[in-house]
Amino acid sequence: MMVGVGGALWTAALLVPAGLFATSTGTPGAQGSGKTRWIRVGRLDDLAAGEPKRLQIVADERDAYTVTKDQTLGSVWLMREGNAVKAWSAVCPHLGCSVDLGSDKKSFSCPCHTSRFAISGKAESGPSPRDMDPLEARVVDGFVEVDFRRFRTGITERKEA
Amino acid sequence: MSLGDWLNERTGHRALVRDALDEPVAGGARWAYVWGSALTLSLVIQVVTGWLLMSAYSPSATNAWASVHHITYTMRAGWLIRGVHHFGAQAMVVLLALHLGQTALYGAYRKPREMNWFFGLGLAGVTLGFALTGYLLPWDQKGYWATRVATNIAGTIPGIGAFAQDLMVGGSEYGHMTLTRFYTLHVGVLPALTVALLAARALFRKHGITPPSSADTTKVDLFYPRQVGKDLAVALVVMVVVFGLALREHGAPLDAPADAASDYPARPEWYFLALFELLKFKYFHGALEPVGAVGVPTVVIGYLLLLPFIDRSATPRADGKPRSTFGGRLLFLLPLLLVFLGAGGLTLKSLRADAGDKEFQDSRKVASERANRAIALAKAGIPPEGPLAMLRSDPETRGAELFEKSCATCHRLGKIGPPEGKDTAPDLTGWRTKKWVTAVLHDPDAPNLFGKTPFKEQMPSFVKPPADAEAAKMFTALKPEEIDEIGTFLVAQANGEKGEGSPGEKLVKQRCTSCHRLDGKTDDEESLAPELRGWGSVAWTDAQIADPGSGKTYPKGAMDPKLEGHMPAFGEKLSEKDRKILSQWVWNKAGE
Repeated sequence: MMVGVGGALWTAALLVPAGLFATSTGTPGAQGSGKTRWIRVGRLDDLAAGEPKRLQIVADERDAYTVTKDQTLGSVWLMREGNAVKAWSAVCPHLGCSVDLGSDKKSFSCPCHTSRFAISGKAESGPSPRDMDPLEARVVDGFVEVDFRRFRTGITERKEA
Repeated sequence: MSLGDWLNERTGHRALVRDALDEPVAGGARWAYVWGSALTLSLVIQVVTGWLLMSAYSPSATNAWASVHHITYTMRAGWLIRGVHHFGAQAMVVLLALHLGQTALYGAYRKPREMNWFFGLGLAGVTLGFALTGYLLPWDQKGYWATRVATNIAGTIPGIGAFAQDLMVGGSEYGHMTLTRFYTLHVGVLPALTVALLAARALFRKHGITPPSSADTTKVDLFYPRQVGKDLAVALVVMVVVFGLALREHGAPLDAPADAASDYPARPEWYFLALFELLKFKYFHGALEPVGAVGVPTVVIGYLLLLPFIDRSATPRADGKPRSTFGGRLLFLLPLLLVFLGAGGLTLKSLRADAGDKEFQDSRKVASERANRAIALAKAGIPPEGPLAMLRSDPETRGAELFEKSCATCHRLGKIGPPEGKDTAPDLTGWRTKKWVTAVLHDPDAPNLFGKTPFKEQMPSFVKPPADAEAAKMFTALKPEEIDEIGTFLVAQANGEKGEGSPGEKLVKQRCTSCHRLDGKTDDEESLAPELRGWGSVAWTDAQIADPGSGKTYPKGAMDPKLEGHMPAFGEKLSEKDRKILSQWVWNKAGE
């Protein structure tokens, strides 16, 4: 009995911290930590109204312990509406390929599994479980800024990765 | 039929388990027998924590320190896992000594258990190998320098030394290849050897424990539960101690990132301190060094290996009478005891020498300040060039280093400077503050100002009248409030403000520009007095470091070789980046 209790104690003392460590996967300051991160992507004047444009997200990248300055982290789709801008993540909500503009220039389509989205980002056909993921966008001093985030793919619910 | 029955029918595991648990312990369970089990359970801790560390560690010269920092300061329970691995390793060294000591004392190395003894010695060697290779892996100053000394020792072995050293280091210099080699040994080769030796020991364990001659051998316990209980109790104590140490240190120490260009007071881990101290004896200097570093341990290992053949007390005498055992054995163990006591004495001597060595303590302090700075900086992330680049571009750390290397042979600033009384240039502590300006106006030739420079007697006091009676008649001392105004004006210059039209500026124009320059203008073009516009600012400091005779600070004449002991130009000695860091650092420190 005593031996059993002792053995269980010894094992638990080893395995509890081990489990905590093995499941420790978040890095503070890295992408996906839930914090708002406004990134300047371009000038408002360079966007033509009603015509989607894809711009790159350039910012510092944090990979666990390494921080690399000015890396291209991904891209976003932007559409100007008057003096406001709408933004979507260019990552397909299905399985993470890059969403491109359709051949008609009036819709989005994913080259991997032929998901199609309306110009409003609404899923229209193909396997995508949800609409394109909208991102917060604002205009500051004539520059467009986007709160860049990543989302989990393949699920109906929109959840930040 | 239960799952156990199903399995037993196919594997027969129950008989195996029963065999193991029901092994008879002749003479009864004893605390003396616990060390082997304690070692085995410690090994399990090392394996589990080691795997976890492997899942986050990166064996490269640019990333190793960064990944260990990440494990220790970012990952959940990372500090605990690393702390337990670190102190668990030391616990194994202690347990190993206890186990071998017990085996030797009970004479368990004698016939017919020689092979067990050899396997045990093999495992001891492997354990020390783990300790030695693991020490380098964080790629911090401590591990780096201690291991460099160790591989350099290997290099002194006549004949094969150089080859052995290159083989370990993976080249002539420490770097990526050294780390991957040590890592391969630590997580691949040594674990495989451990498993092989343990398997051999278990498979070929023909003979059980060796009870002491005083034991009542008619009394027999089974391994389970009495011996298992004792073993487990000790394993729990070991675990409490290891966890306690990890908690106290909040993990394991992490020194500053390895820097081949630094002066680091290297010391090995405590269990190698005796060897370290041995090499300080002058008999082992020069050609005899390998004798101390390699020869002495080799003789000890050789004696341990030969012990079963030296001590033949297990073999009956020719006349059939048993030999005296314990007393006789002590004679053979005496040399080992002496070596052990000697090693203990050397270890104490080494610790005491360091505790009483002010220079060592000081450099230890500098090293730990650097470590703390690196740890704090790294929390914001480490550039891809690695932690050393991070530290090198940190104005705080790099500035102090540059000042120490380039300026501190003449100037003092705060705690950094030449040995007491050896200053030959103004003390920069508080330079660019009102206090310093006031001191210069009072007595520019004070020993901590310009008294030891070629500029001695170039500037008069503005408070004390000159010694010459004629000149004294003409002299008007500055009033304290005037000194204060001049101070305010000059401190404004140092802070990058213009201060134009201020009362201080007017006073400077009245009293100082007869020699000094202000906006390049002076009444005396021959004078060597420096420019006061922007004096003490970062730009002024930077210009002064680059070339004291550029006219931006002092005029050309200040660099005249006849002015022996003037400040040299550092424009070509320092890179622009370093110079900017240095001037910013001097400016920051001098303003404190």
